Amino acid sequence: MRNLFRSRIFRYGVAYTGLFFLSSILVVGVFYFALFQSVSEKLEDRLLEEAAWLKEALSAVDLSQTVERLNFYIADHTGNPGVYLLLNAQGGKVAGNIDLVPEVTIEQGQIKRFIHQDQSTEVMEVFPEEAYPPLRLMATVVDLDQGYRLIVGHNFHDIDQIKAEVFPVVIKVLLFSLLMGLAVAVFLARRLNRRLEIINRSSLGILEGRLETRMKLTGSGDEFDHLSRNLNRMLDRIFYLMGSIKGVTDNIAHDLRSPLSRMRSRMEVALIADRSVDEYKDILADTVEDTSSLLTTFNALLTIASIESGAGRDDFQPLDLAKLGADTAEMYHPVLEETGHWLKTDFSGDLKMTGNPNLIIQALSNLLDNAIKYTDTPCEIVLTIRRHGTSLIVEVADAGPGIPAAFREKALQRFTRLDESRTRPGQGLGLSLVQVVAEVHGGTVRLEDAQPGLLVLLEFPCLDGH
Amino acid sequence: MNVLIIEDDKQAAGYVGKGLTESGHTVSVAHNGDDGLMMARSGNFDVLVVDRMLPDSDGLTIIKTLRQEGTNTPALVLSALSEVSHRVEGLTAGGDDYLTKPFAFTELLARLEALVRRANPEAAVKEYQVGDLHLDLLTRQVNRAGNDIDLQPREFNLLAYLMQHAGQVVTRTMLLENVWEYNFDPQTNVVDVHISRLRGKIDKDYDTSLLKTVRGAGYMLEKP
Repeated sequence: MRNLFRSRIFRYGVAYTGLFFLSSILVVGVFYFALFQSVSEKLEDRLLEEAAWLKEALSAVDLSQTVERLNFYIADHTGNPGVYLLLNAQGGKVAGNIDLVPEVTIEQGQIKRFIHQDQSTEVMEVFPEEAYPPLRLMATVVDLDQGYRLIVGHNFHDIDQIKAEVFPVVIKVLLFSLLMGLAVAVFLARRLNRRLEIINRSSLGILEGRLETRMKLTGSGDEFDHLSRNLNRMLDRIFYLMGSIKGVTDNIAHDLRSPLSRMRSRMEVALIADRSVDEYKDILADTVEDTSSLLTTFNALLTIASIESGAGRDDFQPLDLAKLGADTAEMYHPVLEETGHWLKTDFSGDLKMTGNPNLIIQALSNLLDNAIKYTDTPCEIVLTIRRHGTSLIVEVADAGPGIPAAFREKALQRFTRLDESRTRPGQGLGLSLVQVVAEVHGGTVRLEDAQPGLLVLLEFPCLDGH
Repeated sequence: MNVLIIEDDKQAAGYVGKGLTESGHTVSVAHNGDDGLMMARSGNFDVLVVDRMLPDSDGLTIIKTLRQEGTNTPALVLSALSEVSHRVEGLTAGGDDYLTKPFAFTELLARLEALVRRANPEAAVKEYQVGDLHLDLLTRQVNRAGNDIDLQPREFNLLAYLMQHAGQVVTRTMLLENVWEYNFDPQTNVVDVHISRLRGKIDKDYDTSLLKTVRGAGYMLEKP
């Protein structure tokens, strides 16, 4: 129950119900009073009309006939009983259906409401029992000849009675709506909490180490399903990254262990016996070279990390991919000659863009490097740079063994080397670096089949039209 | 050369200092920014090695302050951050070169020597001569022992840079930055291949080699 009161949804529900209740009271109250106001105005109009009619009817005849006419009128109206009292100039009763003269003084054309304590039998006969006593009167006066006055009154007991009957009903309806509102609030809170509870429990499961836990979907496609689906996607992504970090850690350990253990055994062997200065120098020089390969690995990692953090973006400048491509080709020309590969370049269209030239030439050089490194027999390498719509596309195709489709995504991961023995040179960072360079420029890398060989597609968007 | 190292990591400063001393240079060390600034103001140093992150101040601020005061001793900024933007920031603040940690000592030494040489330019050089190798910057002619050598434009620039720094170690990174004007780490040592081609043209047919490989460091063009 405490949970229920803490529930945000329940609180909203209660607040809404409260507001609804208050506005209902207001609406019903206004309606209630307006209704009775209009009813009593109608009654007053009717009373004045009747008084006017009586004045006309009674003034037309002389006094003796007046009493007769009035008695006749009263007798004729027993079904709709009014109060009639004809007084002489001294204020004594001449005729009428009540005995007691009201103490209230009323002028002609005026209406007064008062309680009339008249308990005469005559009155008891005229009015139904429940309306009596006392009489609740709405009365006016008609002035006649010779100081005679006729008091005409209506009992507004009826209105009071309707009021008395309607009021509890109104209260009951209001209370019922309040209870219904609260019930709906509880129901909604319970129901929504149950949905949230499923998500909460799944999160707790993950916290407790059951990493494969996922949020259950109800299949209704509602916002909870939507949230759950996104959370599941996020979890999938996190666990994918966790997995790849683990893979990376294993691979780093392997890559760093080899040069380290090589250095260690070299130095251990050096310590076994006394050696000449030249021998020591050689051993140290070899060690220095091993450390520089370690440094290279670390630097490559740091570079990837810093590019990923967007650092290179500060150095973005207008550049011409054709120039970068030509520079890379020129730089690799002697390397290609040594290995026996031959490079075909094809740059076409306007290849200007905005980017970091150092990062892009790093990517181009890594791609050429890979093409040379992973093709065992010399073959043709094609470097194409072209414009495609608003994008610039760099393609590096080799005619080597290529990468099977299933391994292409893995090949872009850090420290991945597709030869499990990890005997080829390199840190397995080349393509990852290409990928982060592409990403920092808002672009993408795709590996495809060059038939035969590997085709790497590097796409840079040129949003600024360059 | 007379070097001032401003570096709070005492061990790192010690190694660098020892390396420089053993390479025949004079070394002073300051372990914080205030001492470093005070010592640098004396102006008796040929070059400063300034760590970017000091406990009491930013290495770049020290260099900026010195430049405003009119001390133009060239400086090399050491930065633990490999971000390219920080490199650029280091240069525009008046530092003359930068190096990111972790670095190889030989790289540091080579860059310091290049910095000092750059700070003391020889009057308008038109040609270089190392042993019997001659390079003319105006006609872009190269000959050795009287024989013309035909070089590609890039090879010419490469040789010119090596000759400009004759007798000094020049690292691969320095060559990439100055000859190709790019700053990146090629996986295959592209520079080595270019050097070996250049060597084929200037050294192969002669008894003495001028272009030497310095193991673990880079290259040096030197009189035999």
